[in-house]
Amino acid sequence: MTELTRARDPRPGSDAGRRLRRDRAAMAGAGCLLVLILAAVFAPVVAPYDPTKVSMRERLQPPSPKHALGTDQFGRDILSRIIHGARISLTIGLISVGIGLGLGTTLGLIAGFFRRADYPISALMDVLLSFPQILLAIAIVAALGPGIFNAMIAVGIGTVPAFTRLTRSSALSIREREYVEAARALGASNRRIIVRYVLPNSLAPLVVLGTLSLAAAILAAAILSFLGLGARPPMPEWGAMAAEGRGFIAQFPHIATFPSLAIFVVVLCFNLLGDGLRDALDPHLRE
Amino acid sequence: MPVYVARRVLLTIPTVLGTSILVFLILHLAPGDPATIVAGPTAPPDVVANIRTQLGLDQPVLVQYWRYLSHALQGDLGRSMLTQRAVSEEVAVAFLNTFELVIAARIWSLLVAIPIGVVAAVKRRSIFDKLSMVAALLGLSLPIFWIGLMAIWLFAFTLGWLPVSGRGGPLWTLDGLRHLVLPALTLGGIQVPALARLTRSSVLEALSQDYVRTARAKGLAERLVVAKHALGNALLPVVTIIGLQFAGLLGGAVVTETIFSWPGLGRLAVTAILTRDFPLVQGTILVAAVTFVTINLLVDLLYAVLDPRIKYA
Amino acid sequence: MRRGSGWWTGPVVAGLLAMLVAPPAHAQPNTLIIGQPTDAESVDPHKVTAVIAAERLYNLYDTLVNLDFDLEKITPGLAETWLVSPDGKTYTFALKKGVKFHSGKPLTAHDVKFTLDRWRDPATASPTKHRIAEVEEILAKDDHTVVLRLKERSNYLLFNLASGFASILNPEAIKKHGANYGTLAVDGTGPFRFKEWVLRDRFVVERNPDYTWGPPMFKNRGPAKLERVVWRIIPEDTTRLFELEKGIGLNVSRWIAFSELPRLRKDPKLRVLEYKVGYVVYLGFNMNKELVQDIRIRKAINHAIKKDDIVNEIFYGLGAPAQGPLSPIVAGQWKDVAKAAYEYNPAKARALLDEAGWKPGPDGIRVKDGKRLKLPVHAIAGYGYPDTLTLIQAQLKDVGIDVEQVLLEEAAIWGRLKAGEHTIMAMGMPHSNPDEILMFYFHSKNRPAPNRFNFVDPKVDQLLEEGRTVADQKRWQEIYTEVQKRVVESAVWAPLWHPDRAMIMSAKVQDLRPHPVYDVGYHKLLDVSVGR
Repeated sequence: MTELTRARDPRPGSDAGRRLRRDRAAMAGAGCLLVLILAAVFAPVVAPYDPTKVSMRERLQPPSPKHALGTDQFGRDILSRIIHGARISLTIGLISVGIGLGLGTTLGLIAGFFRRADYPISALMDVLLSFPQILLAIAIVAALGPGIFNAMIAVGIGTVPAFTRLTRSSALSIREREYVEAARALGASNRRIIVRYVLPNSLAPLVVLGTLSLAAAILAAAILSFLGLGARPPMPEWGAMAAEGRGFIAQFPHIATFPSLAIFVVVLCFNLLGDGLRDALDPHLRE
Repeated sequence: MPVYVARRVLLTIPTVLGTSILVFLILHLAPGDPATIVAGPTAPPDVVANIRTQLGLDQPVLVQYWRYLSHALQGDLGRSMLTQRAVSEEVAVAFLNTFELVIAARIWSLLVAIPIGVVAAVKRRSIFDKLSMVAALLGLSLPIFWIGLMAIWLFAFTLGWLPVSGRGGPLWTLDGLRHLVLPALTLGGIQVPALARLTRSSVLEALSQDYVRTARAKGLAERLVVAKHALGNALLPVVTIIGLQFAGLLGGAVVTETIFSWPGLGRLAVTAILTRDFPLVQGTILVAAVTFVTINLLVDLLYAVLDPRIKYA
Repeated sequence: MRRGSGWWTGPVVAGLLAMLVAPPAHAQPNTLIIGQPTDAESVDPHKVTAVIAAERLYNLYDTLVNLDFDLEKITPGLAETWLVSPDGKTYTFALKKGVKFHSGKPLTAHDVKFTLDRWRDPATASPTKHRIAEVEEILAKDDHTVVLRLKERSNYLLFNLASGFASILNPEAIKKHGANYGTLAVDGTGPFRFKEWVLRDRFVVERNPDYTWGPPMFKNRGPAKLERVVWRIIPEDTTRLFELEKGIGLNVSRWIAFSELPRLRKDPKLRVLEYKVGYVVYLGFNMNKELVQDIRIRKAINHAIKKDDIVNEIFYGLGAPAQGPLSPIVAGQWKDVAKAAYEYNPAKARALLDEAGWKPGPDGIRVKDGKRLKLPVHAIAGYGYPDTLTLIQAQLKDVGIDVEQVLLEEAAIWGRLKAGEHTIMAMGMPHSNPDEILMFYFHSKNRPAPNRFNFVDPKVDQLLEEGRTVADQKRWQEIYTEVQKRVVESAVWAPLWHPDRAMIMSAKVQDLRPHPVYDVGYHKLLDVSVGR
């Protein structure tokens, strides 16, 4: 995450907003996400079919006017499943990043403000970072049992260290600043300092990290489902759909491909937006 | 410097210890009785009880952990509950397989990514820069399992060229090499975008440094500026990333090894977790963590050697 | 690299690539390469239960007797002949002479005694020791005579002695290798010798050139025609299929996705052998769970499932719908089971649920006292169970039942079932005789496992015990007919289907005949050869 640490000391406000609006790639990502979010919210209206409706007579069909993206091995309409799947994937992303953000910032602030808590928290983060995130997630899923909710928790815990480190370092740097010292001398409580100075100052990098983490979280959850540790059938989760379709790639590669492309598009959108936000909030990189 | 090295080495111990405790706790909170799994579906209760005693699972968790730790320090990681094989042997074999895969993937991804990143940075805003960075962004967002599936579909099913599963044989045999190609391509492939982007931004940063501007101002040829000044400094963060991304590489190896049935550490860990083979999970994750921590350590030390600006007490 | 010094890299790289992509070099003559989804834990016969282990046992070891391809006839093995006393309680086996272990040690009656004693010894903790529970004493009368004394007459002793778990071991090897026996070292008398095992990748055996004592159910009594047999572990269905289909690393597998069979049958480079096994796949209800204690719910589920669709749509017709618990190819089948079984009749299912007080709610799922009719079904996440459950889920939704799939890894499911957390479970079981499945599942002493349904019927208990010892053939049939009747009437199961198997092999593989015992497929590979 070295690219992110540069996003320190932003000048938020209209400058960033203007820069972001001028970033066509980021805007494309944001627009695409908006469409996806709308589709997800109104999935029952938008989707042409019931995503779990089994119809053996119509199974394994290639794309056609009736089924724009074809059907899977149970004759379920793949387009409808992908539209409903958007709900699931976006929810997974939001909840797991929410877990990471909530836990991570809290721990980061504690570590940054209370010397005694710093070592244990930092050490715990080192431990969490000392094995691959996916292995950690798998171990957590193994402990809690497979399932969509547990997958969110597992992915969420995996994102905690990045948020902790980010908040901790900005808390550390800000608490030593003169104006903070001055505020403290005037009797401001830790809470006030956190709310008034630390959080606003960490906001920009947190937004960037959050957006990019959404991409990573959605991808990680899809991988968990692909490995059979996440969503359960007949839930139209994209990773699970790709996993179900992999047995048919010889004759019907579209079954695994369309859900994979859906993952690709969402992750790409978040990456575009995240990149755009970083560029907008960190003018240093933009000469 | 020696003090720094010693301190740095000592600091890895709590991390490794913490990792082992964390994994131990996670697994002991897990539902599912390992003795039942070992005994198999048809075993009567007395057999299960017998096995539980044999495995020491009737002891308190703390006792189990202490026993495990003291044995581990002597190089004995216990025996797999399912196969009764020494965990150290199973992990060693898997480790070598993963090592081959990861190194092959890393080498080819670097060979592709670094030139792309350097050229993109030097020819900033050129068509090449834009195209390669768009491609990198696209690549960054692709799910690895789909790349693997498509590689299988293309090279094995459509063309019938390459085997798609298993280790095949030792690395130096033709079979071993042939089996390595597709997994290494897949695993390396997903690394290229991130590496290329990183190289590019590192080189860009280096090019904007004062001494590079000075060199340019002195009228040095651009190629020389890039080669002599920018590249050397730009590679420093790349070295870090090579180390850091090993975690990502090992993570990618889990999926790659699953799709290609590669008998490596990632697949071993997944199998062990899913079968609740406690000693084996402990062993694999411990070895993965130690490897990772060691690589981090080496990267830090390398950094210290390479970067004269950093002073170490 | 200096410019100009790299002229040679182009051709070298091209050559290397050509070499890698060239047709496979591993086409060693007379090697059978079998593709499997999972690996065995061990090939110590007293430590395993898995089918994948059993099929290796038959090739590494021999058993005293063998079960013929028809699943009825007991044929000789290491025992040339055997005598049963008139009261059926003493078996005297005369061992073949000249049999040697792979290590060279000659086989004696003491080895047999050692093996069987080890099998039943509680300290061994063999998961299959119940198969020899009726034996009271094992004696080595002389070097080539073994006597087994039973507590009671047994109809199934020989069946159990023919199972791979009754393979005869070399005591010296067991003592020498200790905990490593079965993984790093193996010593048997079988047609193939252990060569190499890379766990979860490949298991390699090579021909035992001294082998001449093959059972008469094979044309070739030994040595085997194959030079070597390799079991390759390929968890992914797709890669297993491609390697077999394209001939890049496999030449036979029993585990190929059914959806591919119509295509593979037409492929001239392949041969598809379909065969029957004694097997049943079922939904079992846990009678301890309140929701399914009402027999009307169990009957409604039986009526709501369209078994034909499971067989035809998911498994492409490779099998038959199941009416009762016993496979039709196994002796003891209740003749009229089809008449008594629950036919597909959603209207009847709805009526039964109405009667039980479950009325359709706003979303179509039935409700009673504010509770939704939501039923979890536990199953293994593989072997076609997820697909089967998805179809059943849709069928039961039709009558107002919400099915929740609880899919677990094979290794994790047994503990969860043993803890009794399931309301309904979907499972399958291979069997070669009625005792092997009915006693196993429906005797009350086998609660909580393997009688995971907590089925209690004292009459069934008594009949099953009598079935083990009864000598009269007619009475024997009556007993099992009655047991099946009671099981079907109680609706403790919803029997789903009896799968057939398909063995798909390269057309170069000759004389590979699948054996249905314990669903292993590969019994001794004595007759098999692989052409160029």
